[in-house]
Amino acid sequence: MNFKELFNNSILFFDGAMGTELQKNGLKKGELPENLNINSPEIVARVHKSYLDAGCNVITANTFGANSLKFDNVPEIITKAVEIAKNTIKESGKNAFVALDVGPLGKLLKPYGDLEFDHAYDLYKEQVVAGANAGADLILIETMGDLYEIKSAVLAAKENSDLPVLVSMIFDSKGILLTGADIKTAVITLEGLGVDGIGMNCGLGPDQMLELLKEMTKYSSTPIFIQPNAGLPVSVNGVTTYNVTPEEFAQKQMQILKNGACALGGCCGTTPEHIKAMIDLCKNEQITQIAKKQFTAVTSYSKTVIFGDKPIIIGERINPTGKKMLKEALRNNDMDYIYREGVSQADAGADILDVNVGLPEIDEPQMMQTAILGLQSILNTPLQIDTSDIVAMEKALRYYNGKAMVNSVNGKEKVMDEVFPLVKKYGGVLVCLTLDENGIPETVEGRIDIAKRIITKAESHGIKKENLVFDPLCMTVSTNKDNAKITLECIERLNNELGVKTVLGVSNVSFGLPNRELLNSAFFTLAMQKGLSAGIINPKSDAMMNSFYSYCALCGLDDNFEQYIQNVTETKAEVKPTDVDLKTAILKGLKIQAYDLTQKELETKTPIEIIDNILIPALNEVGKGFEDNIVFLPGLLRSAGTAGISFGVIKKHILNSGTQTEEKGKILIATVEGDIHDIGKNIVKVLLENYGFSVIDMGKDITPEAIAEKAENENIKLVGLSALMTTTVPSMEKTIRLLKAKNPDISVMVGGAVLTEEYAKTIGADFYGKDAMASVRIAEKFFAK
Amino acid sequence: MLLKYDLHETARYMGYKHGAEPSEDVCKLCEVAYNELCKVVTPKYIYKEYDFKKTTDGIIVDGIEFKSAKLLSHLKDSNAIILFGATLGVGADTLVRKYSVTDVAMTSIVHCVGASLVENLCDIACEELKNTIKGDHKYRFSPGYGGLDISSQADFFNLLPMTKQLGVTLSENYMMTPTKTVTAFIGVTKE
Repeated sequence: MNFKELFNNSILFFDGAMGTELQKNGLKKGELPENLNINSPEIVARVHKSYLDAGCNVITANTFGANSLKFDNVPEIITKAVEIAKNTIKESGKNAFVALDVGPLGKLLKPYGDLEFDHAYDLYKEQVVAGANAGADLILIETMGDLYEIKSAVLAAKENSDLPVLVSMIFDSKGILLTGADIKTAVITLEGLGVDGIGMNCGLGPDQMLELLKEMTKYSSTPIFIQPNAGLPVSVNGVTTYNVTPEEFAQKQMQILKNGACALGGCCGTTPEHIKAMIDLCKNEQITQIAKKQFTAVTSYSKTVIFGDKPIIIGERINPTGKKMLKEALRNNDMDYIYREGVSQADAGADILDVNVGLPEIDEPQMMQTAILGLQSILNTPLQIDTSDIVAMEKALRYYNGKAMVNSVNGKEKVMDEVFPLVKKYGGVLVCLTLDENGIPETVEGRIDIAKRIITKAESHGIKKENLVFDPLCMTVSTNKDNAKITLECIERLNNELGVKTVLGVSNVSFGLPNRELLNSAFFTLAMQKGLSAGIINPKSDAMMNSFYSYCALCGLDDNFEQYIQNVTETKAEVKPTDVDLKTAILKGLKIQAYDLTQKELETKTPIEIIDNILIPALNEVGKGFEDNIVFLPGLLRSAGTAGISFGVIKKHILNSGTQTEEKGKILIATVEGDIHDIGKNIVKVLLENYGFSVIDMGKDITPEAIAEKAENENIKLVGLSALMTTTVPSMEKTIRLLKAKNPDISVMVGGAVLTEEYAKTIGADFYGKDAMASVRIAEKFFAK
Repeated sequence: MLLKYDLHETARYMGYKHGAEPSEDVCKLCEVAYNELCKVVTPKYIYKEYDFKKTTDGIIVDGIEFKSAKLLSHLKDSNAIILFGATLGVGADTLVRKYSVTDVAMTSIVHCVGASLVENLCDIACEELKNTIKGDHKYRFSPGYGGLDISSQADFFNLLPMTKQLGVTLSENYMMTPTKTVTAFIGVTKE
């Protein structure tokens, strides 16, 4: 039998701790264990043999940390390691599998740290290729604490080998990974990626793992394997030890087996004696096959949304259709605008955010990737990838950290053939539109038929029904009075007859009619009553959310009316004092008032009048106060943020009226390569923008080459660079040199904690800004020339 | 673990000087930042006790040299050393990133309240350490300060499992992520 069959049908026993056993057998302190594969293979073989003698049927090759961040000869180390393991098994005359052991890289992936997803993938790929070539039987990705890093490793494993892939994670005692995923989220995401086994190891003893296992079996349909430490570490005279004895360990692992695990092993502190005691006690037990669970769920890196009785709100606002400001933002690469749409919808109660960034004139795959990475770096709300561009869809799915919702597939054969393989590979919940080559059927029957066809075809691709959510589509009632009725009946039948979840873009129903919100919100209520699982709506619309909260309150879906009451109170609390003028609002940082007052000013004044006579004088007053130590950073930033809102209102007004405005000057800013601190740079950006400059923000950790290229392409005259640490000033210097080499006329201003006026001069900068306000003054002088 | 922030320290981080105090509005925002941070931080700390040797211009811990005359003088009465690390986790950084696109004033406030919280975490942890490791404890001395080069972080990480146990990693330029993290030496004088 091959590994997969055995794993699913019998109890398998993995080995125990490697590092401490190697030390016992002669690994010197400070020496990297993986070097033994080459220098002293007999030590490694001795440890393998001890575990084989204990009765293990899976032994782990000595490759845990063998990646190119630590070693120059990864293929050699891995090849040797697998050889040692295989030879030891051969010599022992026993039957056992060799696992290629793959551990964390020791660096956090972006956005938490500085490692790129693709770089992580490449590092893992090297290990997988070497391990598979050397003849490993399975890939064991273990002691993982970050879901995103796991994803890079799993993709590397599955794309570069045919071996079974098992993933084991290190949770804290509350069942949370280092980067925030709980057990539920981790399990659902990993099943989406199609791993063959899910487990936990290290960090905890068997007692704690037993508790967490109960949570794991609730959600997992995939076999579970458990490798605890021999208890929690205790420090005795400065030495770390583990107190659970082999007999206790065996008893506890028996409990774990009875609670749903199908393979057992050990981690830190466990010895061949622990493993032997465990195997002797458990080997004659019957395996409990894990039950298949059926539920519909999407995840982000730390949050799960399960489709249940309560309707789910999918925020529709990140979609350029009919939105001038968003189109403008996409064209100008103004990602912050898109991210703010995300945050405001999540704050308004969206459970999932739809992300559609398609415009004919932009590179959609690239924009989609940027948007997905950006949104998931600031929000834990799961995302719905909304595109008909298959390249963009794959990019989004690849870089998404979790199990995404995908919008959409339909009954067209060509579309199904393109989309299903992607969802099968990366996981996801797929929105299925009931239309096909012949368009949208006018009858309920016609739409249900397409739904059935989609289900069958999805199954043939290995996609389960619970990962499909059906959108029966709604045409406006203004063209056919029965359109809403047809859709509602479809929802009911999809629910009752086909047993699938449903989703609906609600607002189409009212197209062409006045006061659309009124119809939309009523239609939303009707659809929920028919069993609609999720509505794609504007969560910032009071009318829509009122329908939602009222429906939940009336249908017993809102415990103690908590959400309903909170929603009502929030609305009431919005009192707007009107006794301030716009300038005062900006000086005091009153955002809501500034928004209203700017709109009011626009009734009687031109945009230029407002900017020149109100906004800039207000900002100057605050800026002067800051320079005189009367106003401090929070005050300066609040005023700048408030002025930003005013500028936003004015910009929208200008866009709508179609007039052009004069720009004060374009500035490129970035935090230099190697530096991951960007708070200061972000503050500079906001101030510059609010003084009317156009700012291209490249972000943090940007290479000199990328900055120079961008400056050239955008015809930039003034660049602002930020560095916080002494260690990254050389990279700033290099950037300046490169910028000046390409364009001797370019000017560079620099700032950051370690810099001084003098230091700035020595690295070739033209200007030094001691704080954010100073950068504004520099820019003003520069462009006044 | 319930952490608290120090308004006075937070104001100092935000650049208040010459005795100026934050306005009532800013104090309220600090409170908002604090409440938001409490929801997302995962405070953890680790430590390990070592013997150490003194050299002419620094110390040696487990065969690894840390050069700093100030560190040496800071530890002149100590006969043992604790390597200490504490972090608020990735949640604080995510919150700062979120505010950096929605509200720049709050970005700086969350950043500064966060800095105060991690100091508070260190204070609480160091008090707990006094119960575990008896003796007279010196104040924290961190790599990157007092002439102890920031590159010593790499050696520090080899002596204390910051990555495995706290999830803190070091960039090529010796910056720690999550950023709300502290590493420090604590001298102990045992009887």
